Amino acid sequence: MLPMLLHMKVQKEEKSRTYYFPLGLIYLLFVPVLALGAVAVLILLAIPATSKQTRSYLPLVRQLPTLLSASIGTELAFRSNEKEYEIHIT
Amino acid sequence: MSEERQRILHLLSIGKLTVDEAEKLLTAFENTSKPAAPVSDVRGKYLYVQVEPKEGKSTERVSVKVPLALVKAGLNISKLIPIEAQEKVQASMHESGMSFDFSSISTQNMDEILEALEQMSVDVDSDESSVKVFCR
Repeated sequence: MLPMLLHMKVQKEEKSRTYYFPLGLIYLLFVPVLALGAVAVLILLAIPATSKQTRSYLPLVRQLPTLLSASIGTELAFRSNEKEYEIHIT
Repeated sequence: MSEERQRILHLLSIGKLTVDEAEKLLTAFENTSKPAAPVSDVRGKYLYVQVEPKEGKSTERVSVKVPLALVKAGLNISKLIPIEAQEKVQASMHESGMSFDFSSISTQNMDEILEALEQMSVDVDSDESSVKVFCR
């Protein structure tokens, strides 16, 4: 399952702000890019000169969702006396 | 006895294969039919990197929590990088003083790396801060 929410907390002195980025919507924004990319890949696969090289990159592309889903649970935090930043991927 | 093994022995008995060829085929067959080595379960395990300042020094603290599954996925992906791209990456890493051979990452090595990571604990103490790297 792909990560669906990026939770970001920013605290500066007394002010604290929390942002929630629904990653599902961000993936939707990437759908046109993916569609264009798929067309480009199909064209490159059809050209004999570039077909072999393109095919060698396909397993890498297929593994990207796995990499994304493995990032669930990642937490980054930077804290000092004046400010505090936290990022959680869920 | 499996069907493939019987076929190889049959070909040997009727003289269509030499002893050497049959041995090679049987060895290759045994290697492919072996069950995969047990993969260490990394679910729910995390790699932590914590930077804590010393008293009276900088107040900045950094904490990073990365799932071991992400490390494993990264290692898996590094095996899939095409050879020509691997060569470029290796050359630029070598120029930066880090020699790294992608071909040395095998399934067995990967399990060993993950097992070592799970047991690893690194503490670095300096005048400014202390850095801890560990898995839990």
